[in-house]
Amino acid sequence: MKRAFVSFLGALLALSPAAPLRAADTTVTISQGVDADTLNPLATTITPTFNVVQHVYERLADFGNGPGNYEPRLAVSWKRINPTTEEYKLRRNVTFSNGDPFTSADVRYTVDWIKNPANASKQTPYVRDIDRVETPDPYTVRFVSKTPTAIPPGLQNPLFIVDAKYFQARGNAYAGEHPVGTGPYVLREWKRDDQTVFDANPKWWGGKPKIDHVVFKPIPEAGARVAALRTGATDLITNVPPQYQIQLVGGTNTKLESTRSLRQLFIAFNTLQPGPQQNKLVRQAINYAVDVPAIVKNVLGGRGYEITSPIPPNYFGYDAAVPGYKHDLAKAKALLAKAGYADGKGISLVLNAPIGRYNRDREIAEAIAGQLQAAGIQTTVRPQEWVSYSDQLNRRALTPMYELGWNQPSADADGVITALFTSSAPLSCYGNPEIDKLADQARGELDVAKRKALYKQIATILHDDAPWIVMFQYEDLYATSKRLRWHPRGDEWIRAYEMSVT
Amino acid sequence: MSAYLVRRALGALWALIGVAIVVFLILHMTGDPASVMMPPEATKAEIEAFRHEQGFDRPLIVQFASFAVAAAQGDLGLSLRHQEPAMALALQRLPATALLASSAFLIVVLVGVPAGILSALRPRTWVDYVARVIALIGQSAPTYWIGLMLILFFAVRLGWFPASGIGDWHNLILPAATLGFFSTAKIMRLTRAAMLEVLAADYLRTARAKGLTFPRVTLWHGLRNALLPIVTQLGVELGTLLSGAIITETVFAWPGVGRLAVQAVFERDFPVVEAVVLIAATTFVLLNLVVDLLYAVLDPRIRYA
Amino acid sequence: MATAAVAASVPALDDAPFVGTRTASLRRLARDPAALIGAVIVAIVVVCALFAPLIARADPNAQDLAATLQPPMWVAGGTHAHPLGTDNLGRDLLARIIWGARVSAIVGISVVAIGGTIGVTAGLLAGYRRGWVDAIIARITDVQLAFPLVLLAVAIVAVVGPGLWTVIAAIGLTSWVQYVRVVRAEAMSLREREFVLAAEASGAAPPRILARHLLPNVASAAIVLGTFEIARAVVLESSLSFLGLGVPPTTPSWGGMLADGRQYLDTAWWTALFPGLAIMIAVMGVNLLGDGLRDALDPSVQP
Repeated sequence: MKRAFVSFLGALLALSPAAPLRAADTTVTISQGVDADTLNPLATTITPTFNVVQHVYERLADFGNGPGNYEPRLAVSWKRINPTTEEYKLRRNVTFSNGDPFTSADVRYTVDWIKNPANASKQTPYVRDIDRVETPDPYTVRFVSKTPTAIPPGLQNPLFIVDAKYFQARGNAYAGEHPVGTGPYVLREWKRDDQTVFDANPKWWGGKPKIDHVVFKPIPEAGARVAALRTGATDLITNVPPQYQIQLVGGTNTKLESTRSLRQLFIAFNTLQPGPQQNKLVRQAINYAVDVPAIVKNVLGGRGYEITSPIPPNYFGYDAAVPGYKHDLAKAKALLAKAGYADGKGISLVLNAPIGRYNRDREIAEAIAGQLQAAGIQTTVRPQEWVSYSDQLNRRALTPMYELGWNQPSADADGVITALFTSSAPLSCYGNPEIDKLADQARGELDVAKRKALYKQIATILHDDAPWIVMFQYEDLYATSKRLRWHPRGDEWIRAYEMSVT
Repeated sequence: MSAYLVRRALGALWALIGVAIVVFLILHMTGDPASVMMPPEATKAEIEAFRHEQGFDRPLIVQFASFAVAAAQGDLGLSLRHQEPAMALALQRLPATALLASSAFLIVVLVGVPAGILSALRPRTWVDYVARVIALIGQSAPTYWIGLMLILFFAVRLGWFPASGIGDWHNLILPAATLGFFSTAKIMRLTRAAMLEVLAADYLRTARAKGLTFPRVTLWHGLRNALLPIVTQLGVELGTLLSGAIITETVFAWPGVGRLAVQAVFERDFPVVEAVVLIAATTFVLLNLVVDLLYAVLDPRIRYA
Repeated sequence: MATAAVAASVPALDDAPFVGTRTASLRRLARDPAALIGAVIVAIVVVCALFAPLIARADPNAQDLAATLQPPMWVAGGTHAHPLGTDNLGRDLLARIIWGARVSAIVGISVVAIGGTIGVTAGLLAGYRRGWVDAIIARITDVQLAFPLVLLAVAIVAVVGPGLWTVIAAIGLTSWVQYVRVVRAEAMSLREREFVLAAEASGAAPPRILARHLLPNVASAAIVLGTFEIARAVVLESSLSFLGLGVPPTTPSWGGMLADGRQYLDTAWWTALFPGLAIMIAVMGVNLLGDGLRDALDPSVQP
């Protein structure tokens, strides 16, 4: 009896704070549809790869919640010191995972690397507004542009800072497969198309992350992803097709997460090629003929948000006063008649669509064609696989109508307008000198109120001229295991360091 | 014998060179992937700069010359998508494909040949008919459909095996069975036909009349003579398996060379396509060499052809 | 190459250039039950292909977005209007399968016609002429055979762009070499025969010799090979469509339907099962017919 009591006391002592129990290691597995194409953060442009590399590398600041909202990462503060110069104060006492200290020299090296023709980087558009990088001291960086830009060039695009010494010593190929960054995780192994494993970095300036291990396990087939989630083989899956919702919502250990996406889907008219779409009345008529709420309800199962302008409500530059086109068959027919195509006689259109690039892209195109037929406009859908579609898109050869999606993580109207409506942009099949002028002005306008007014003006012109059929923003569907605490982002970025498990 | 070898090897080399030329021409015939690789917000100037940096704006002859020179040293350039040496990328994936193909080959040899022998030994019984029907299905159904049906029944409905990806031996069963189905069927029918022909031969009937026991007669004498076409066909089927791996890997998301090739073709990642084709062609050519050699060993008549 | 192997397996022909007359062959064919089944299946496919608009009750391209993914009529939720169910755009599956026979039939026949013509001609030339003609053709054949055929077809179509005739050309390019191997060996062994030497001695021009004396003898082997090539072409076309590189997505094709149905494997199995069954049955028919033809035309030839 006495011996038992002594051993009981001993056990109690062992449990005291002086000898804490080790909590079990937490691992979270994330399954996207594709593997990262490289671990060199300066050599890729696709979101799934950014989702992987951003656990090892960091930017100056991350997108926060809402346009113009940024969370400081490697930069603690920033300000505009003159119209063309933005100055960033860098975080001190940050080291790369190999011990190299992080300084402004690394920021400069990163920008120079992208601009260097020998690296043939695909990220050159991300640094086009940075003319010069100045490093007055190890913790200050200045980006100088040729003309004033309203959005800080160091923040609006993914610019992951790399270790200058490491890259120079090891070369691009090695550094690409053995990433060394300042981020919350370090790479343990990367087996292509199989899995990528990260371990928590205890020396991270933000403190040790809550999740000890992060595994990226790509599963290309949506059905296989869902199956993997249900069996517990993975904790988070992206791009859940609507037909699996029922299985996941009420699942024993799964839950559905959704968020309003920053990505919109639209139909553009190729006004640079001859055809009825060059007539403004025809474009307006078609806008009246399309019933967007019906498409959202029938094709997306309600998982979408109708929008009325290419600058949607969750972007900077949105103005609620700009009108949209409500479905009105009578108005459509009247406008068609006014344009000289009474009862749709003499008009026959082709709607180009990609296959499997965006959620239900082809079905949506077919639905629109159906709606146009109902208005008397002969329309056929021409679907194509993405690479040849994209090839023709860049040559402005898709005519008279084509379907496209656009996601602007900076949530700023400039990205949308410049890339999709200005005459020099390869993806724009619309040429309006007034829009060109206003877009340039708005990009460089530093006064927030004036800038907003400019975008309202642009949006109003675009509504009247109708170079698009503005449709909707997606509701992105993700699914996770019940134990995962995480909310999806509208820009489709996934951050394990924001997750926790119960 | 050695003259034969040398001649075959030279022929193989010519074949490889021919393949490299053909692949290069096909890929470069219709433009380049510059606009696909760059982010959507890139301007024309930026796309042009990228095109220039990658050397796509040089005349075709110049591009081919530099490609040929580098390729001879084993350097096929960087993958446009992954920014890593294309040859290394392709070689990295080879083990997965080799695993899949050899597992399927094992099924072909261990299931196809015995099934064919059994079917020949028991003609017109239900064993024979069942085997022949299954063989017919195997030779008629598209590989990817078999893969999808196997996934539907064994992965989705029964949950016995995972539906995709590489992992442990569980992940190997369905893809290997899918890949091997067609070849197993073919080998089974071939073995059956060869055995039937041999069993009907006069000298065997004589041997049996003389009183040699049945198993000895069939397995030893029969098989030896049937061996030649079976072994040859097995060599051909190994090539078919490697070819069919492309489709099977796509269906099961198996991280092998075949899947890499399909993705690379879709993305116009030229260096990777060239790397995969050269690897595949080398494998095929080597395989054919081995089959020819085997043939020459097994049939002395061919040696001096 | 395995040419040597084929040469060894092709039996030595007797002095008579034909083995059995045509009527004897047909009689043998008619007595083979498996071959008859094959012939019936092929006939059904051809009829579907020719008379699709008359046979199919529904329009294969008519979408009904309110009736997507309806199950077959014997499952709860199915209707008689769509006996095999509908796909993800609400199109009738049965109609699309009937119309899909068109693509398969056209591809199969065209590939064999084009590939066979080129292949047999090249094989005859190579086998009869020897010399540099043979060397060139043999080299090209070697290069071609060193290529993984599926990848070749994929590369051609991906680069040139999908389309019915691109697919036919790509598959045909992978097909012609099969004929060369067999025909060349035959021609080589035949050119030493007395009837050929006699024709040459009497001053007949080479094309005449090829056409009148060599061609009929390689015909049976070529026909049998052609039948199996139809099967291979149909499967390869469906594989290309499955990868998204086949005929335009609006044309009903069995492979394309399988590609669409793949994402609904566990939620709408009928979209993936029935097109595949169609391919399998059609190809089975062709294979059975081919087996029967081979047995009928020359019973002593082994597979």
